[in-house]
Amino acid sequence: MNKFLPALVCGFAAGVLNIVPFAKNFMCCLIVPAASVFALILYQRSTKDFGFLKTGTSVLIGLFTGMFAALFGSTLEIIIILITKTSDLTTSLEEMNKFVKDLPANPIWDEVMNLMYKISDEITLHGFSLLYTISIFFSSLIVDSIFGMIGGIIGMQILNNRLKPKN
Amino acid sequence: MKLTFNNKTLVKLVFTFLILIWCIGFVIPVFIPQLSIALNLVYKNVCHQNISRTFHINNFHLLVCSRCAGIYLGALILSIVNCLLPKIELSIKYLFPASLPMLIDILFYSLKFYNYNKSIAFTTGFIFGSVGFIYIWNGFENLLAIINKREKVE
Repeated sequence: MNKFLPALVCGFAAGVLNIVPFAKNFMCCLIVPAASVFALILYQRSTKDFGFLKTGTSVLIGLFTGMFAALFGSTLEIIIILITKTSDLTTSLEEMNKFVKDLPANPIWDEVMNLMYKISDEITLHGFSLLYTISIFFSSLIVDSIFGMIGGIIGMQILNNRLKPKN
Repeated sequence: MKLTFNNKTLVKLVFTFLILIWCIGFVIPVFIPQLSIALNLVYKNVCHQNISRTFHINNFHLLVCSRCAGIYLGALILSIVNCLLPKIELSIKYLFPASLPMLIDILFYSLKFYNYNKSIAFTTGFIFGSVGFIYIWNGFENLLAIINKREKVE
């Protein structure tokens, strides 16, 4: 539980910041790693153990933070899509269609584009597409988990450095 | 095959290869634009992808902003250097000075001292990414050492 709670709090914060355009402009790809560093600080405070952090623990907390960030981030994004009935896919599809028209016809790309249009139509009509939801969830789960673990590794070194004797 | 320190070079190469794939992923839509929609799902998790802040090649933009591109390319270059050198060690106290140019750039363009400049964003990101990689690699090395120690005990 001690590992879960800081990761849950920081993962939630990262998930929210990930969908706020203004915040994302500032922090960009550093939101999830930064959340992992804060999760480690919270973990130390909750356990009241300010000693050296173990690599395994730090990576695990980073992983949990990334997973929670992905969970909350994708859930919030799905809610926003449900309300606005628009997504990045719907907006970028027009641009993509213009390009594909100039290319020599290929049945595979036609199928892909048809699938994309199907998803886009579902989003425009109902504000929800199961395939898009699954792809958002899994892509963010993988990417945020990796970035969370990276943040955990960096955070561990920052926090452990404070304990090293200074010359 | 167990990941041991005897094949540390192999681990370094795998690490570099993974970063290379990640970097190819955000550049490849310039050459194969059809992939941009699928890959966009991955990179939108890590970057705001503001088109005015991304590099354009052949009328197609990269899937990450210039700062993120700098961070990842910095990490890639350092990972290649890491393969060539036996060990790169740097005190963690250098992480803050390395991130300072990036933080100053973010602060200055946000306060409208100057307009967003892709080259500055890329350079400051590159410095941060290359220094940041050293700490990530050192942490990863520690993790591998712990895993190896456990395996030996077992």
